[in-house]
Amino acid sequence: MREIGLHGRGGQGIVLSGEMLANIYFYEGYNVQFMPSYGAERRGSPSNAYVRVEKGKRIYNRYTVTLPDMVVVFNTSLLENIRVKENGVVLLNISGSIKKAETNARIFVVDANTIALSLNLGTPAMPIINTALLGAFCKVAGDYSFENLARVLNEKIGKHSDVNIEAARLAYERVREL
Amino acid sequence: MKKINRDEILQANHLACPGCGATLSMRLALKALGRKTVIVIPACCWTIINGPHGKNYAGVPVFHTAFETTAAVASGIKASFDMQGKSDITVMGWAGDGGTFDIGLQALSGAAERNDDIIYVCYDNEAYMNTGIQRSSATPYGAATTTTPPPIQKDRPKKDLMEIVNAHEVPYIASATIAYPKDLMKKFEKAKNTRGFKLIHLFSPCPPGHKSVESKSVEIAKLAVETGIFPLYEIENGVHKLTRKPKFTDVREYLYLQGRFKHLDDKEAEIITENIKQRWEKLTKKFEC
Amino acid sequence: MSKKIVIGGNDAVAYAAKQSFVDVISAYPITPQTSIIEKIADFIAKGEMNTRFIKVESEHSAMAAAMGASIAGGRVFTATSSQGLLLMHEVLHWASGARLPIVMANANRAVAPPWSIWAEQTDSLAQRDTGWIQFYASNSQEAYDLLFIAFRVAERVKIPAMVCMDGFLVTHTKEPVEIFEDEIDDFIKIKEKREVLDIDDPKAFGALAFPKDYMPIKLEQNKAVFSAAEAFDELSEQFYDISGRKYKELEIYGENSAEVAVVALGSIAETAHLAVDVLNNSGIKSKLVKINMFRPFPKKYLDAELKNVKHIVVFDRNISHGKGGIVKDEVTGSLGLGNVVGYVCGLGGYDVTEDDMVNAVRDVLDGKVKEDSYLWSEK
Repeated sequence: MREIGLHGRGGQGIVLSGEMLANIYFYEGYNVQFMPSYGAERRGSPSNAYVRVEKGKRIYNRYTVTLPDMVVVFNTSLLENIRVKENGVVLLNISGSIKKAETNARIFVVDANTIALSLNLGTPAMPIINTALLGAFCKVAGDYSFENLARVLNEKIGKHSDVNIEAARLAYERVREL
Repeated sequence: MKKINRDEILQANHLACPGCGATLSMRLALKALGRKTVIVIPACCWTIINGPHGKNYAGVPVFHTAFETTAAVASGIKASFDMQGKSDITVMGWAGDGGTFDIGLQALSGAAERNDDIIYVCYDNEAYMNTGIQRSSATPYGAATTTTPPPIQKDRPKKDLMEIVNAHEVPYIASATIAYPKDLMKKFEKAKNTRGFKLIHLFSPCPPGHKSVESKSVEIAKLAVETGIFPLYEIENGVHKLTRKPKFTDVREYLYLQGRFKHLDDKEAEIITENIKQRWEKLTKKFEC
Repeated sequence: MSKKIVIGGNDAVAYAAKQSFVDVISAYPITPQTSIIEKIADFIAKGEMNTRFIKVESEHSAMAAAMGASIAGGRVFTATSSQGLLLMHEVLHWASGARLPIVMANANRAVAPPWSIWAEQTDSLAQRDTGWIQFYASNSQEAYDLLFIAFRVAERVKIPAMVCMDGFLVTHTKEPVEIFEDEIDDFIKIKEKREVLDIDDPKAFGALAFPKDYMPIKLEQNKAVFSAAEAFDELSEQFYDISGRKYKELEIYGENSAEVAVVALGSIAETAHLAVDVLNNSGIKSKLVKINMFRPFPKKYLDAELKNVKHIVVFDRNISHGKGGIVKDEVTGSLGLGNVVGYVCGLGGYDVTEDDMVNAVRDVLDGKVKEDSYLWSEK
């Protein structure tokens, strides 16, 4: 079983991203479980969601993920509080450059804000980056197809799905390992 | 002159006390509404009057329910009938003043705000009579009850139920009493033919609770109207209409017929008279609009 | 054709309500039940569901209006949680006593104070004496399936039924759920005849009963609640023929000849599958006894499953202050067993993992824990 954490701030569509990611893996033939963490939510406060994926076996675990195998981090300002398993994978949304810290995790970066704004997704204060990050994560994880990603975006986003799929495609192309 | 229909739906062997205003009210109300009516009755005198397990003296289907649930249960019945193509059945909630002014007010407000198509009737005998005469928020100023024995009789005015419900902007609200049976029936007929939420507030003499003579119930009801204590009026879509102009006779005539007021002296009768005057000043402005 | 979609327990319940031809729903929002009634409102707004939704001003009125709709002959659904369920308490007794087959979903949530919106079963277990049938779903598929069965069982025995699922851990946790297209229609469309308000046969329901009448009426009600087990056996068998998914009062998982039985209900019972795997892999013969139906209490089945087991460990995500875990108390009291140890755990949504459960069982086997205890270690 693999556990994936999505970490951002309220208003960034963390819950929707987690649900979409679960659906993508479901179409890939995995058993999936999407567990949002609910609390006293408000815009701007940290927001987390977790996806468990497992091939072949049922997922029985009914408790919060505490140490995911992979994490997608929507804001670098959250990094301090995010944990990942030994030799885990981190996908970071960055603006500008970043230096790799002392870690055995594999770090991937993409500038999702620039991609989103180039496609008029959201505003400079609150760009809509969740679909770009799903595109980048498709490349990083390497175990779901872009077709299934596009299928889920079409189903869940509806009329604005084209531009979101384009954001995902750009991020898929631009994501790189540090 | 229109005659009162002779068909009796309420059965004569009901268990009411002699002189019960709530029972005469039901008899007249059912004559106006007819047999295509169902009634919701919470904890109140009518729980007893309608007969024990196996009996149903009302003559139309009755659902006995918890004290504070009348309006909500009636709303549910109406919605369910509508879904089953039985929209022609009138759904009536029939509650006392405790179940209406006090514990049931929240559910009443909910149904009124939703404008659910029910008739909510409060037969108001101005205290918790079924449990043995304890004060309610419908008990008038000066009245003795077992929880307000003199000299600690009630020192607060009665809640204004009709105006509370009127604040919900419902299509029809009326007051009525057994001393004016045709007026009462006309109001029930109007309520039956109006879609949406209807409230009928009935002044209901209670010989054991008011400490009055059984044969005087109709007279007491009449005096309640004529002294100005209980105004008979309608509010149709927010428009107030007086349906009987009182003579404003001496309030002491009304008070002296009831043992619950026997501790009051002339000075207190004057306070009550002054309260009536003030209330009517406010009401008259509404009738003029 | 049925299809699998990724949804949570609340969505699943809303789909089941939609597919159950409900006439009336009356409900009041409360976290974490809210998305059930939002989804139903959405179905109605889109014209996909022909149901009257009474938006009441409280849970008390939600159950009161549900009673009205039911006694008038309609099929009725509602949903609530925690404080809302507690507010309904009086009316829950009334609905059962009036023999009204209302079906309700309850999102199990802790009881305040202090405020908590997270999973705990004290809310619904505190309603165990109200005369309602109680089902506990451990995942979204069970929530979906049990709702259909609940309608049929409730209407068969004329007793209301609640389907409980842990707040967030089931209500909001999304996973693949198989949703019917119309295969369930023949099963769910059957509405059994019962006494309702009828202007051609004017009866009074619930009138004052003197002692000579009251007790027989209550014994009849009690018998009806007991008979729900038999109705459940029959109807869940029919449901199995349609869905391929089998439900019993208890689900048993693990070793047949176990020396350790782990007893739980709700989402903890889901995780307990993993704990039982760990125990069995380490050579401790174990099984899970997961309670799907808590009322009527599955005494006969529990007795058969537990009588030859050496150690019984009950995990209760609930608490009866001054006593302990409610399920443990019921199991011990009902079966007269002395070898049961109860752990109160996971209150207010506190996580309980398979490791926690395995360690708790080991402490019992090692003799470190001999009487009822609590699982508490700050994570």
